[in-house]
Amino acid sequence: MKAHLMYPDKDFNLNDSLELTRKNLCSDLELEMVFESAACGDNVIYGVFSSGLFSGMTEPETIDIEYRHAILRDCIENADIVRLLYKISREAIEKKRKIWWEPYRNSPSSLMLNSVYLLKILVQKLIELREVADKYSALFKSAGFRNFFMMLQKELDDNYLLLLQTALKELSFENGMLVSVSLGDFNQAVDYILLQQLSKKNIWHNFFSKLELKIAERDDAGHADLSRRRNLALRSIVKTVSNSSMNVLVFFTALQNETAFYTGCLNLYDALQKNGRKICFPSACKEGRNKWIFENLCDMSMSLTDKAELTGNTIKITGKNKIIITGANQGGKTTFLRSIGLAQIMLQCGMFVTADKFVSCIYKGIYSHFKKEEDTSMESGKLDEEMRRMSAIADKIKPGSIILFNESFSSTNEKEGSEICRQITSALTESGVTVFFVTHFYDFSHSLFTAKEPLTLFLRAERMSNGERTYRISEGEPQQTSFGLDIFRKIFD
Amino acid sequence: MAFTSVLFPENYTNRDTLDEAPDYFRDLNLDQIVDEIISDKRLEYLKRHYYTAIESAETIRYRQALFSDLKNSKILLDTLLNFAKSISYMDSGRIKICDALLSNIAYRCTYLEKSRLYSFVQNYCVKTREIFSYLEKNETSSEALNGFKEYLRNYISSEYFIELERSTSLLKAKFSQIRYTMSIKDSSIVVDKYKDEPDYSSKIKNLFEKFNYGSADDIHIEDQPADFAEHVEAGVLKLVATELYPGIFAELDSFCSKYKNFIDPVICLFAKEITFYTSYLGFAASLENKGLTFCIPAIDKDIKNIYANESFDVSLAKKLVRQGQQNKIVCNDFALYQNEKIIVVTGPNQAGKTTFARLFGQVFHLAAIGCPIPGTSASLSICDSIYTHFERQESLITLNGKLHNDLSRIHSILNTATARSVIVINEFLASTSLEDSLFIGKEIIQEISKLGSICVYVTFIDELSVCTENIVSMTGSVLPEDPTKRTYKITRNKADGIAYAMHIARKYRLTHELLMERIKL
Repeated sequence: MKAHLMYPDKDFNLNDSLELTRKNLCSDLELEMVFESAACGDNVIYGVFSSGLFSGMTEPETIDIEYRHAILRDCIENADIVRLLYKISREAIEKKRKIWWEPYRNSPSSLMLNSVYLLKILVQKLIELREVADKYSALFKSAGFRNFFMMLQKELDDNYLLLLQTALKELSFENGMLVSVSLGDFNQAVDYILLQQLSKKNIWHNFFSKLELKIAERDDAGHADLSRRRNLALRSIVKTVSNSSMNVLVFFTALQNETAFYTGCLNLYDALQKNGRKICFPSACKEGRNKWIFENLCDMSMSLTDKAELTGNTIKITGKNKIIITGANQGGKTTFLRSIGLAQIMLQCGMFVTADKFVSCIYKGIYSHFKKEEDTSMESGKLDEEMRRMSAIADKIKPGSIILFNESFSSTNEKEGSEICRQITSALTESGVTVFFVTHFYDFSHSLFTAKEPLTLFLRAERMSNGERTYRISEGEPQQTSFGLDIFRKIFD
Repeated sequence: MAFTSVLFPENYTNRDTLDEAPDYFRDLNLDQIVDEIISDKRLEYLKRHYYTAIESAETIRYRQALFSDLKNSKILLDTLLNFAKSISYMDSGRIKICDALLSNIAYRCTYLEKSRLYSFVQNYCVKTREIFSYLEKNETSSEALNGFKEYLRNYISSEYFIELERSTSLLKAKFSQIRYTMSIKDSSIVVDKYKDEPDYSSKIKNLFEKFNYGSADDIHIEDQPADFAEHVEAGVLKLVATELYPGIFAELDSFCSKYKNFIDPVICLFAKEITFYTSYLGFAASLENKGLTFCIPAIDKDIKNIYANESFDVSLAKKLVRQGQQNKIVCNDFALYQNEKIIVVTGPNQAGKTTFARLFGQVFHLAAIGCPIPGTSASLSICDSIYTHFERQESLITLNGKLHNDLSRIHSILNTATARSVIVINEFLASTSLEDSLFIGKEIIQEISKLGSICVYVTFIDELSVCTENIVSMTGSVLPEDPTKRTYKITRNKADGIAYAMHIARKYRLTHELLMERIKL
């Protein structure tokens, strides 16, 4: 029995260690802000959400976006109940964490004790889940939640819950143990197997019988041996009991992680609502490649931090694989690039985005290569570092991926940098990778412009004739200067 | 005559061995080596074989052939070693059990003890068959192993052994069918026959089956100590034996009285003696793993050319290996061709002269007990005795007293040594003037030369290396580029202290040339 709230037919596996290319994505897109808003101080949610956000990046074809959208809509409608489900499963796991710090955990008797104790807690939590299902299942509309509640009611019916509770009582062996043994090399008792005591009466009918060995009260060695025998008997079942408790825990861990992801989404949703931001459920275009329709697309990190009104971008792009973005410094190019990257990630993992409308295709992978802030000098070591990062991406990237460059390879001079840019982007696009490239290398952008490749699109950060920036991005050919002079004037006038 | 021992061939009747280590053991560090080989106290009885040099070429070759078999096959070695271990384990176990059973005291004379004896017998039959079939399948060339193999062939087909095996397996079949139950509650155990009660773990497993995702950890559960309380185990077994299965255990009673001395004495002796070989090879292997080599020397009473190549002081090598400094081990060659009898070793201090003297003595002793010796190849004579005299710092004795003791010791050596003796003398004349030392040294060497003994004479007096005809001069040496570093190589060389002095001089820029230049400045 499984929760299956992330995939209709697949487990949700956490990917704890972010590989290098994802780490880059986190810092380039400033995802930390998003993670923190989603986690709201809960480290489990932080871990799950930061991993779940990328769940659409490996094997994106396995993600049923509609399935998650429906569940997410249910979550928004029934936030308290979803948070309750998270709380129940989280508590189950917290308890386990506390018990398992026993120093003698691996002696059969203490392992047994721990496992039974854990099972008692978990069974209690199973009962709580059943109650939630009984009370609230009618409020949910998504296939995911409906199946989940149905499963709880079917698998955890009254009869089964009763069986569990009886079994847990039995496991304390207050009526003694019945164990079968065989003869070892020198006829010592071996192969202890704990047996079910079929009838309690018959065992003790031989009171004072000649089949009984009594251990004298002060016989310490004898009593130690008795408890050794009990341990040997327990040994035959302790693995099963412990594995059972672990298996139930696996169920709760999965449920915790899946509800943690949606709780993270809820937290994010609440934070965006508080700032008065609009969200929409994006759609993935099933046909064609490299199509985008965004209306009022905002960067989520900024939507979360900035209280002020944001300028969203509204653009429609069809059939381009090389999008070159140029224009004014501080004109919103980087923010635009980030908003595309994050919206793409959120689309692919089945979340909402901060836009009025967002349509895009599904990419095999999402990569970013941003100029690092400290990379402004023209030291060769910096270019080295940039190339090393690029090479790490090249190890991973596959056709059908998308990559966002932000002023990459600018730690060398324009002529050399442009040549690198040209070579890298053409190699990428020719092998089926879609490229967004923010650059201030006029040499690079202009040469592409004069080449007039049909699949290349030029966007430009807008600049009013008075030098004022609108932070809007629209189509436009590359221009010679980046209007740094404007900013200079603004600051020095 | 039938096979009796792997240490001595059938017709070698003088099997006396020494209780104590011979005098030269300490000088040659052979005592350390033997302690190293026999670190297990239970194998102390082997020491006498390490002490006792053999003069019979036939017996030495008898052992060498077996060593050669074992050196050729690690599997053979391990198989025999394991067999020996099992047999001696069973033998000491058997003695304890018989003691308990004969005592007639209720708490010692139990069915548990009887079952132990049965268990040993069972194991004995298996091991004996195993070792025979192993030896039969794997060709060996030594007379000793082939003799043992034939002995086993006869033994295994003997009526006694066949009956032993048959009764054991009959009992085993009966015991293996027994399965009984214990009800454990409070401080009591009630035994009964097993009546097909279902096991408990399947019940739990079924109950939680719906949570089984096939990914459960294989948790490690600590093992329960195997040491039970003897009286509880014996008590339970007594109930099982007398109340549940009396017939079967009555058979055990008669089995035990019939077979309490089940181990064959020749097999028992084999197990002890084969350890002489395995222990030595185990020790040699610990050095061979570090790139050193042991070889089986050619030996004979009269041999024209005596030599050993790439040999080393075993005790020093072991010490360096233990300290992780095996790269510091230096191998040395020696050879005495035709009439050469005496090696005089000279050279700088700390250049490995004493080590060389030791290795020389060691190889003769090791060869004389039939063991492989350190080196890649060697040819050695069988000596009738080894005499050593090493300089020792004994502060209580005055210088005169010391010289007196030293000389009387040398005198007694020269009185008993023969042409077939090996004499190792390590510089002892430091307590006299150079003039006296030279005179005394010459006298001693000429005396040894007359005896015709084989001798290594370590000295700091270069002149001694030319005092008679049958002397080989060997010297320690230093690195030409850094004269403070010794190579620890002892090589055939004319003794000349000058070369070394020139190195030192150059290092301190005190050669004629260099000093002239400096004075100019």
